[in-house]
Amino acid sequence: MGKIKFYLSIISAKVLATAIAMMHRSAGTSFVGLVVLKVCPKFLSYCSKYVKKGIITISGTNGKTTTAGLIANIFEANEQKVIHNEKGANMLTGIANVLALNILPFKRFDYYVLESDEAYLTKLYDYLPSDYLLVTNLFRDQLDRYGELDITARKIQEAIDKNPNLKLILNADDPMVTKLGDNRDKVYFGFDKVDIVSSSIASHAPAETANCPICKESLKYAQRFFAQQGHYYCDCGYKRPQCDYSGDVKIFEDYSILKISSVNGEFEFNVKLIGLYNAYNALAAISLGLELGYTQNQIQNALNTYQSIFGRAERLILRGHQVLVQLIKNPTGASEVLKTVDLSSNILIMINDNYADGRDVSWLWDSDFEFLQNTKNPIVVSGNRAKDMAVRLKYAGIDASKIIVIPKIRHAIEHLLTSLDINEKITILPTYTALLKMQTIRKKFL
Amino acid sequence: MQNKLKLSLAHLYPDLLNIYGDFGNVLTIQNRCGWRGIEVEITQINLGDKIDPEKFDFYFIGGGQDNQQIDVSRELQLQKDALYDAMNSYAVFLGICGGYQLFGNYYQPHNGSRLMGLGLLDSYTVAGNKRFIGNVTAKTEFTMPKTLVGFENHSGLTYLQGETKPLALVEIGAGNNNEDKTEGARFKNVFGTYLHGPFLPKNPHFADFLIKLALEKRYNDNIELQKLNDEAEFQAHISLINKAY
Ligand SMILES: [Zn+2]
Repeated sequence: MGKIKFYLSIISAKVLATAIAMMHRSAGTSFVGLVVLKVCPKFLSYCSKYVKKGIITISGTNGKTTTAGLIANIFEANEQKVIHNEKGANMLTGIANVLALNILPFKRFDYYVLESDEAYLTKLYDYLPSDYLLVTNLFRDQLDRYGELDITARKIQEAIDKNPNLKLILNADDPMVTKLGDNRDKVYFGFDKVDIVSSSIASHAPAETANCPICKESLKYAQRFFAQQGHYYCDCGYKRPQCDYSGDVKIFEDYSILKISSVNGEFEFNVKLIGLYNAYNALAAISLGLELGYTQNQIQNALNTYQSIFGRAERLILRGHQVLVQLIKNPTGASEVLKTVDLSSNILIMINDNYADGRDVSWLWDSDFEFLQNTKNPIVVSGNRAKDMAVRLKYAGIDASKIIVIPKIRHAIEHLLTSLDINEKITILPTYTALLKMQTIRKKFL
Repeated sequence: MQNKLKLSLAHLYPDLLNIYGDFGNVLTIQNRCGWRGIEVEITQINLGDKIDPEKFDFYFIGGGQDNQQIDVSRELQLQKDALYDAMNSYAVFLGICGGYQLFGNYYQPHNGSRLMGLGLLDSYTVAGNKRFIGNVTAKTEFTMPKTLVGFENHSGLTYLQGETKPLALVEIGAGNNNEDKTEGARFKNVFGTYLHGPFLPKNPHFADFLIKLALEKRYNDNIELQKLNDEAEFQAHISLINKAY
């Protein structure tokens, strides 16, 4: 009976997607999933029968999409068949969505690579237990949704407890992540050495205090890389664990050189992504790749062909203009991005406060928009919280006459494309749903 | 005239309590004074620092996570006398969220011992079972315009008693306890609120109200603030009035 419902929901998913496409609408990232879970609540359990080698889930506050994208690319570049929620729709409906649109009754896949929102991980594992869980980091993020960081950590822990055969791949440099899984089988990755070769400007965002997850005292650091990431230790004995994959990274302006050593030797990788936060994502993905037995060559090939699908430093051409798009969504990530923004370009900041962005925009005030003080050109602000953003820029020391408020995203992009010379560069800094919006209207700007 | 004025602000425990853009509140005081030629001296007070009540006109304290709040609660017990003296000399206090709770008598968690507050406000907070998260519109009698906007995120339920009065009444949002429509509190020049977002940049009239009170405390004289161009601030303020919870 259940099985019939499952096939039925798969068929209806495809019909639905076709119908939506025929209306010239985007198939969305979770609408089909929503319908499928209504028709067949156990839909996700049936999906476990269509994967041969393994299910990999990626969670954590920052870097999920890039890390999952890199992992999927390692598989795909090596002829594996993969289903991956690449658009970052990481709640239950988003995952059901991508599975429903890809699964066929007689086709099986090698891997599912699923990025999952921290709060939905437990529910996901109720239906679809994983083989691996990779946790990138636990930054202060989206506090308005789950309360506090400890609660987020607890939610991930609950998910782990439900899943006895889960193998954990954890960021050793993050004191909140390390503790996860207690006595479980864990593989740690982390940086031994970080060398910022390009200009490094100190952040003046309030220092994030990190408390020991065991005794709650303030952690001490032998080395601190950014936010709470680094070589921490505590008087109670809690400390950063030994890494199975330890990295030594040189960060250049728009790429990084990553040396990773493990029991199997030392391997060097060239990562064409911007910033230390992306070096962490690459280290995470490569560690998983090495853990699964891929060679340095196979992984490097995959890194070479990786195209970030969605923001996180995406370069594109809109009506002849060079555009760099970088997602911003919380203080740590945004400040990292702002530090490296091209101040001679034309900057467009798009801030939404939809559920997936986090409805509380107070994070704008913990992000270093002061880095934009010396921009050459006016700054355009857009999105449904454009006016909040304008106030933030004013108090960051940017003259009010240099701030242009255009709440509608389409109008804001249109304004830049029509008012600028073709050789002028554009930098777009959107929140998640602002980026989604931009993707859906992108054809208008080609 | 106003370029001769000066204001001294103590930012209490910024390393521990800095969770919802609290830095923006201090930045707002700093800028709005700076634009008027009023010099602002900001002193960060950290754990172990002795507070001199003679020195400051304005005390700001933000919100934090549970562990940090416990540390600060302990420390504040040691600074209680100094802060009482400051309150009685009509210095301005602004506490946001967790900082607001610490201005009251105590915080009672579900299980575990009471977290003692300063008792500057005659209020107390008990842990609730529901987290109130969302936009708030409230009305206060202290400023024109009357509206205050912000974002709340708390599960503690705060109740006022005695001579401590509400800062505002909520029109949208839960406010102090989701029962009596009150939001925030005031006694003398001690103010507390659950609104962040942060609070002062989006409510420039309220920021100026506090600056005026602090200057009048310092100079013991009536002070009129020079008008500023607040178009951007009020555009944001208006866009948030009655925004869905
Ligand atoms: Zn400890």
